[in-house]
Amino acid sequence: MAVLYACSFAPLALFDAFGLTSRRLVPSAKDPAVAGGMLHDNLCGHVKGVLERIFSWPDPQDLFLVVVSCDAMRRMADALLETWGPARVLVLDLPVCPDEEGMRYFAASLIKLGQRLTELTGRPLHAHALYRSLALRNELAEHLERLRGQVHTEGVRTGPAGAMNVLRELTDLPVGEALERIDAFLAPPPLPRDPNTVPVYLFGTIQPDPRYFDLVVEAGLAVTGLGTCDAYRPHEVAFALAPELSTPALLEAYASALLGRSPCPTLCRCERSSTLVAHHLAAAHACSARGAVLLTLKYCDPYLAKVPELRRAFQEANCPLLVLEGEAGPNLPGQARTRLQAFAELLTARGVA
Amino acid sequence: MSQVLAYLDATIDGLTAKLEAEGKAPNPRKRFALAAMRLARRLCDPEVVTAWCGVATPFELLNAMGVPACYPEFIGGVLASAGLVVPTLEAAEQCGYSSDSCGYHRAALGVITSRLLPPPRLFLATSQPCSAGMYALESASRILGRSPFVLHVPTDRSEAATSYVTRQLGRLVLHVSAITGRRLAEADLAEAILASNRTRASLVEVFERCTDVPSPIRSTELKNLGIVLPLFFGTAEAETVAGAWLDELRLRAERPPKTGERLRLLWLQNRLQFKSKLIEDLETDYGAVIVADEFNDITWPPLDPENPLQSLAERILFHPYSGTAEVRIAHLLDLVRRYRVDGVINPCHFGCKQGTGSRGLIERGLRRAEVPVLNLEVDCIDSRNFSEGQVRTRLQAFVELLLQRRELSAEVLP
Ligand code: SF4
Ligand code: SF4
Repeated sequence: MAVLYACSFAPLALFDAFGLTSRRLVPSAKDPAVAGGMLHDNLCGHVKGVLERIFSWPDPQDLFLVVVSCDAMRRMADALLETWGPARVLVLDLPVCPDEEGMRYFAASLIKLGQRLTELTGRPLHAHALYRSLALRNELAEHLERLRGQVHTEGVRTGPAGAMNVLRELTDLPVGEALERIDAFLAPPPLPRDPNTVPVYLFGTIQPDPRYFDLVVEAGLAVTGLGTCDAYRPHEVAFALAPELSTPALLEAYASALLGRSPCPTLCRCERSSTLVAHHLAAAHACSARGAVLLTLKYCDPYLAKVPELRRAFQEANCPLLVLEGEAGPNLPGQARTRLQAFAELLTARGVA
Repeated sequence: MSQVLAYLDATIDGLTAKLEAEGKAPNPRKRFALAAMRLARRLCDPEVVTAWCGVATPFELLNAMGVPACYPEFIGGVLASAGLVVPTLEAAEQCGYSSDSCGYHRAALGVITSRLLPPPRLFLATSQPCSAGMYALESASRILGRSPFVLHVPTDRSEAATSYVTRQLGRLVLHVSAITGRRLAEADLAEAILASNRTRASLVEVFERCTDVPSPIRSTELKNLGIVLPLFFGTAEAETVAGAWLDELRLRAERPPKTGERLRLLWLQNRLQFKSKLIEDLETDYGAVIVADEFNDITWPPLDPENPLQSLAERILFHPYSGTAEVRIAHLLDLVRRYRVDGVINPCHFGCKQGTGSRGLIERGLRRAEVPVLNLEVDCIDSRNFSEGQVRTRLQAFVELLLQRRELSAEVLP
C-alpha cells in the first residue's frame, strides 16, 4: 500500500513512520478533457493532470492524500471521494495562515491523520518510529541546502541527470533511498556554468508539461535558482528534534516545520510568514539572477492573483520578470518559446550594456 | 465615483418616496432594495469605517461593532445591476489581474485600483465559499498597504474544526477592535444575536411558504435575498426585510397571485446580476417559474446567545458550501424535494472554481436522483461575455424538454 499525494505540504515523515511508501503524482498532460468532464475545464492543469493519472491508477490498494489548499484541490478531493470513496481518500486541510492558530489546528489534523492511518494499516504510530523518520527527513532537508548551492553554481541541467529531475525522483523514493540518491548526485564537484548563458531565477507552480522547463534552458537561460512548488518545498525544512518527545509533541513540531516551508501561493500573509513576493525577490537575488521567469498555470487563482504585485515588486527591484501561463495539453504553445527567446535576448542586451 | 453616487442617491430617493406613498404595505422587495442601496451608500462615504469581507464572515459581529461591511459579490452585483461594472473589470485587467478569474473579484479589485470608492479600512477574507475570494481580498489589501485578517474555514467538520474557527472569530473581533478602536460590547453582541435569531425565524417561515404549489413568488422576487441579507444579520434592517416578506406571503396566502406556473425550477448559486429579461420571459412564455434559489434557505439552528462565537462558527462550518461536494449535493436534493422542483439550472459562472468547478459532480449527483439539470456557461456580472440569444435558446430548449417530460409522466400516471 502506498500513499499518493500531489502537494508539497504532504507529511511524508508520518507515512514513513507507518512504513508506507509515498509517491508524488506528477500530473499528466495528455488529455486534460478527462478531468474537465469530471469537474470543469476551468480547473488548473495541475489538478486536471493529477486526476487524469489517478483515474487510470492501477493499484486499488493505494491511498490518496489530498491536502486542501485551494479551490482546485477541494474539487480534486470531491472528485476522488466520488470515485474512490472515503476509505481510500485522506483529506488534510492546510491552514491558510501559518500563525499560532493555524499551527495548532494543523498539528491536531496530523494527529487525526495518524489515527486514520492506524485504522487503515492496523499499525500503531510509535514515537520512536516517528522520531527516526523525522530525523531522516531532516537529513534530507539539510542535503537540499547543498543542492541549492550546486544549482547556483552550475545552473540546472535538463534531462535525467538534471537537478529538477532528481528533485522529482526524491518524492518517489523511500527516505533512505532518497538520501542515497542525493548523495550520489552531489558527489561530483559542480561544473562551472556555461558563460554564454544568462542566470535566471525560475519559480511558479508545478507544470504538468516538463517541456516548459526545457524551453527555458533551450533559450540560453541558466536556472541558478529554483522556486517552483515541486522543487525544494516538498523536502524543506530541517528543525530541532529531541528523542524524548511524545508523538503529539513530535507532530506539533512537524506541523510547525511544514507550515514554515517556503511560502506557497495558497497561503495568505500573516505575521509569522514571510510574503511570497518578498521570498521570491530574495531568492532571485540570492542566486545572482539577472531576471526571473514565473511559470504559472492557466486558472491557478492563487498565483494569478499575485501576478500584479509580483510584477510591481520585480520592476522596482530592477529585475526583469517574464510571466508565462502554462496549460496542460499535448501541444506546447509556440508563443512560449518565442517569448522566452525574446526575454533571453533582453537579458543579454542588458548584461552587455 | 460621481456616477455611482448619482445612481445610489436617485435609487434611494425613489425607493423612499414610493415606500412612503404606499404607507403600511409590506413592500418587501423595495425594503430589501432600499437596505442594500443604503449600505452601498455607506460604503461610499469616506468618513465611515468599512470592511470588505469574505462571504462566510459572521456579519453579526461587525454590525454589533458598528462597521458596515460587504463582500466582492455585493460590490460586483450592485455595479452590474447599475450597468457600471465593465470599467471596473477593465481596470483590474489592465493592472494584470487575469480575465480568467471570477468577475466578482475582478470588479472589487477594479474598484480598488481605480479608486472608484473610498478604500475600506478592514479586509476580512474567508476561505469559504472560495479561496479565490481570499486571494483577491489579500491582493486588494496589499495594494492599500493593509494587513488582511484571514479566516480559515476547513472542510473538516470535527469538534477541533469548530474550536479552531471559534478561536479565529475571537481573533477577528480583536483585529477589528485594534483597527477601529471599537470594542465589542457584550450587550451589543447579545442583542445582535437575538436580532439575528428573529430574522432567522421569519426567514424559516418565508422559505417554508415559498415551497407551496403554485409558488407564491415570481421568479425574480427573491433574487439575491439569501446572499445579501446576511450582510445585515444582527440589525433591525434585516428584521424589517424578513418581516416584510413574511407579512407579504401571509397576505398572498389569502389572495394567491396568478403566475401561470407550469414548471418549477431551482436556480443554483448566483443569479445574473446585470439587467436581462430572460428569466421573466421564461415565466411569461412558458410558465417556468424559479421557485427556489440555492442560497434562499436556512441551514443553521438558532444561534446560542450563551455561546455566540461557537454557534457562529458552527453556522459557517455546517453551511453546505463549506463541506465536500457531497454535502452540497445533499442540500440541493433536499431543496428539490421540498420545493417539488422539475428541473435545476446551474449557471456555471465563468472563473468560479467553487460552483462551476463542481459542475460535473453536481450534474451526476442530480441525475442519479433523476433530476434534470441544465448547465449554463455564463458570466453572472460581465455583460461583455453574455450572449443573450444563445442563453435564451438553451433555456427554452431545457424548459420545452421538461414540459414534454411532464406531459409524458401525466400520461403514464393514472
Ligand atoms: S495552487 Fe494553483 S496550480 Fe496548485 S493546485 Fe491550486 S490552482 Fe492548481
Ligand atoms: S462566483 Fe465562485 S469564485 Fe466567484 S465569488 Fe462566488 S464562489 Fe467565489
